[in-house]
Amino acid sequence: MIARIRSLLVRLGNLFRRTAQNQDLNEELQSHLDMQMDEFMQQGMSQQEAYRKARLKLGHPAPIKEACRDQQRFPLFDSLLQDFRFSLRFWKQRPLLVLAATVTLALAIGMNVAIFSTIDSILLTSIPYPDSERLVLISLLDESPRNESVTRSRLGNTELLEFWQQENKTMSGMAGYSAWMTTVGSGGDPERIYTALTTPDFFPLLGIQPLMGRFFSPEESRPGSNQVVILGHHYWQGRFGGDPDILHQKITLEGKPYQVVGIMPADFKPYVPGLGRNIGLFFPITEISGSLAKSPIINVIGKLREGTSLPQAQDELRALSGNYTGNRERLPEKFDVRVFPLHEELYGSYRPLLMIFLGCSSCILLIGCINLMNVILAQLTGRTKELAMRAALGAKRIRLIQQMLMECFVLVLPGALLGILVAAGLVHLMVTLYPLQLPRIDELKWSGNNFWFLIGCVLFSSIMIGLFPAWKLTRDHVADVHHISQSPTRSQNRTGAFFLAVQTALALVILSSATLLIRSFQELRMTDPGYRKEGILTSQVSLPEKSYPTPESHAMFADQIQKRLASIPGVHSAAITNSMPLVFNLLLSVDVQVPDSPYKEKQRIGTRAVSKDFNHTFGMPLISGRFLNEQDEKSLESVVVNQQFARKYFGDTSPLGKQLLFGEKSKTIVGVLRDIRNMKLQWEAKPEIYIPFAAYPSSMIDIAIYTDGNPASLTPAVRAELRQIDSSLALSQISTIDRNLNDQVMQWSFRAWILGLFAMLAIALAAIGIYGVTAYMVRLRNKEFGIRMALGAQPKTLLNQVLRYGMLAPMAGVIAGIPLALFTGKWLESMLYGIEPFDPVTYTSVSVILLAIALLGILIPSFRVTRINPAETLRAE
Amino acid sequence: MGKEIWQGTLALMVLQTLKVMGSLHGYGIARRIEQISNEQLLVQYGTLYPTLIKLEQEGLIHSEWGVSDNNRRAKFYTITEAGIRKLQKSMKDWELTTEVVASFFRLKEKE
Repeated sequence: MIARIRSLLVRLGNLFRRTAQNQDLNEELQSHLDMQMDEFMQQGMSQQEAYRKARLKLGHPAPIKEACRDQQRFPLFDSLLQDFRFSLRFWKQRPLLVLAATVTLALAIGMNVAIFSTIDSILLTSIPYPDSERLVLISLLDESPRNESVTRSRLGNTELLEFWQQENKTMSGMAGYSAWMTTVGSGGDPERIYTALTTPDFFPLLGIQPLMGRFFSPEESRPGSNQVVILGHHYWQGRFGGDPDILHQKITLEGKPYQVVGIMPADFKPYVPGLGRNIGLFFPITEISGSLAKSPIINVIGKLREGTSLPQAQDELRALSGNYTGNRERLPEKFDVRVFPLHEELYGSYRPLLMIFLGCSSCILLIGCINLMNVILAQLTGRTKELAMRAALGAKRIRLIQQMLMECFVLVLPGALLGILVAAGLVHLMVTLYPLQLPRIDELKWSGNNFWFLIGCVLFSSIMIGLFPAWKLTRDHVADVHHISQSPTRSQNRTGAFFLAVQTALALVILSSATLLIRSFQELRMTDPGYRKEGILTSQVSLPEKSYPTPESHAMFADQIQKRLASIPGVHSAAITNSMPLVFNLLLSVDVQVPDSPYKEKQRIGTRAVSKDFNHTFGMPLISGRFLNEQDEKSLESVVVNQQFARKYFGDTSPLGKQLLFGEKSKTIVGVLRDIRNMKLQWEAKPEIYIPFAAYPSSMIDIAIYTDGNPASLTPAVRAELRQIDSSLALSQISTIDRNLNDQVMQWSFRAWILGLFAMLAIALAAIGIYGVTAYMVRLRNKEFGIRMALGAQPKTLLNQVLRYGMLAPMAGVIAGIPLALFTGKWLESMLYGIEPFDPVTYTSVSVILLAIALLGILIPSFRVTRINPAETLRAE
Repeated sequence: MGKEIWQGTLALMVLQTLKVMGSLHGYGIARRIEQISNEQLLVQYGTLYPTLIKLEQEGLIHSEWGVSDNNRRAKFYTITEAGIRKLQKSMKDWELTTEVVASFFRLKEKE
């Protein structure tokens, strides 16, 4: 072993002292010859005779030297280097070809590298916390019988978490956290910032150290203890100018003093579900207040003990929860526990989309490689002589294949290098156009994985382009120097057709996938949400507990602000709700009995608390009856339902005047409102109830204002009105309805954009391929056509024949591609909207488009047939 | 004509020759092997010189330019410590192999 390594090192060293070594060897052989001569001359031979015999005995020095050189160096490396130099010279004489290959491969490889780098950063890079592969998310599965379907649910109180923390043996730690928003800046300019509430073990569990100070102590996490806060780095920089003295001081937040105990490190990012990137403040979880206190949403993460598997942990927590006898408040009636790997939980949902991207981009690379392979095949006819000569001079077949692969490698190289730039450009474009559509996109970087992937692309392309031509050429022609054919052989035709069919099939798959996604995007964008698509300003106000402690105060504030907003000049109508459509994606779940319906059980129904004019503001038409008015806001005895509700519970009979039981209270349905899209634009409406805001007031108030002009321009007026009521309140989530709608379709637009880009490139490459192969075939058969024309064939007949023959391959490709495309369509199903995965129109039109493009690609070169001059062809013979 | 030698066996012969003879040049090694085998073996120079290079790369022999008996400049090879160890080990292996093969052949004759 040591001897081998030594030998390898010596050989490596030898690479740099070739000349000296050659000289050494020459001298050694010369001295050998001299000594042999001496010996022969001692035996009495003449000098001439001795010289002759010595030379004879030694043999030809060249093979000896070659054998020695092979031993001294790396024969494969030497020959590769030789091939590399030869290839450089070879391609230098064919600049156009190199240009075509470079453009094709730069685009194809660039796309692949760009897609791979997103996959690398999202799926392959682990979360940058220590031992992050052991981090898990713990969820409840709500199996309450009243729930229509089993849903994931988070914890509604911390007692269950504490019980788990005490009893479990499979986790090295568990922590809970909740996302929140806080109003900061008690002066003239209050603003709402993202904050987080955490249990004390949250930061240690993630393995984070504070930049300054410390994290929460368990004592501080008990109710009634000192109020403490940790500053996010960004907020600390922005609000306090990075002043280190702020540590241990008290700052006032929402009217209460908090002591700053720590400052987060600058590079901290919360890689946990539910927390946004820019958390300004961290509080102990006991600081839950306001409307969150009524229905806390506590996420639970944990870290598996080393050597513990996820199912073990899940089984244990499940068993523990069965024995839980503590506070069941706000926990589902019946639930199961599920443990998910954190990384998978955060990013697993992106896998299908990214795989579609990678699949399509690799198909494009394949199409491009086939084009280049065809070019190389076409070149072969011209190179038969050269290669046959080399074979005759003793080059082995494997050596010739090696040389041709090296040629392809050299051909691929510039494209691959340029591909890095294309990839960088594509990623840049993606980040600029769709900054929020992929997670961790800001972490995209040129990693080692990307480098290996690029190398993989280069090798794949070289082999894809070169192996078949090399194999074919060396098989057909090496043996026979004189067998040089200038007309296409049968097998040449067949392989050409085969690869054309493959290209068409691949292009069909990409084009149909792109069409499905683009049409889904269009469908979604055209979807009628059931309300106005523009002219509405939306925003949110949160009432602090200190100055607005009771539901009555919330209702009063809501009433006040609604009236003030409605009186702003230029405002048609204004409304208040507890849940803005498409923004806040949760409706109140209220248990209601519907006595006059077939459903006797209590029903859990999504309920939206709204002010009067909510329907006017959003432009939602009434189907029957009337909407809630000022009178209803006082009596709280009326509700409005949506069409789905009316259909489900009352069928064909009118729901107007029917009673609903909210616990003991009975309320009358006074109107039916049109169904709207609530949480997601693509989700159909479910049964819903509209109830006066005062009946379910909350401290979180969404406001909406309808105006003729530009709604965003009303923001200062809204602020001014808010200040009139309470100068300590801040507007947050300021947006407009068209922006909210646009946010909904962004992800769809992103997919459609990427696939559209892929499809364009795929079609272009396939078209170039079809054109190139046909043009080449026509040129090769020039002679044949000339002779046939001389014998009286009509140009039209020949043209017909070329067209018919040429279309065979694309047609076969389409036929073979359709099942593949259908399969891909099925895979895309979850990303489609308003279109079936097997939509016949899509597949038919895509096939027709591809065949039309193929026809065009064939038609252009085919016309050359009609211009053949038989006399010229014959003369050339 | 003499028989040709496998490269592996040739390496052993070279090492043994150098161990016995001390320092020797390529030509000398070849002649020596041929003489010992009564000209039965024919050393291929296309194999000998690469073998010498290989042995030197592996650190089993060492080379130096010097002057021969009849005043010729020549490259002299000597065996190293590692070479002697390697030779001893290889000789043991060789003996074992030949013994096994020989006993195998004897077995055949009895039947």
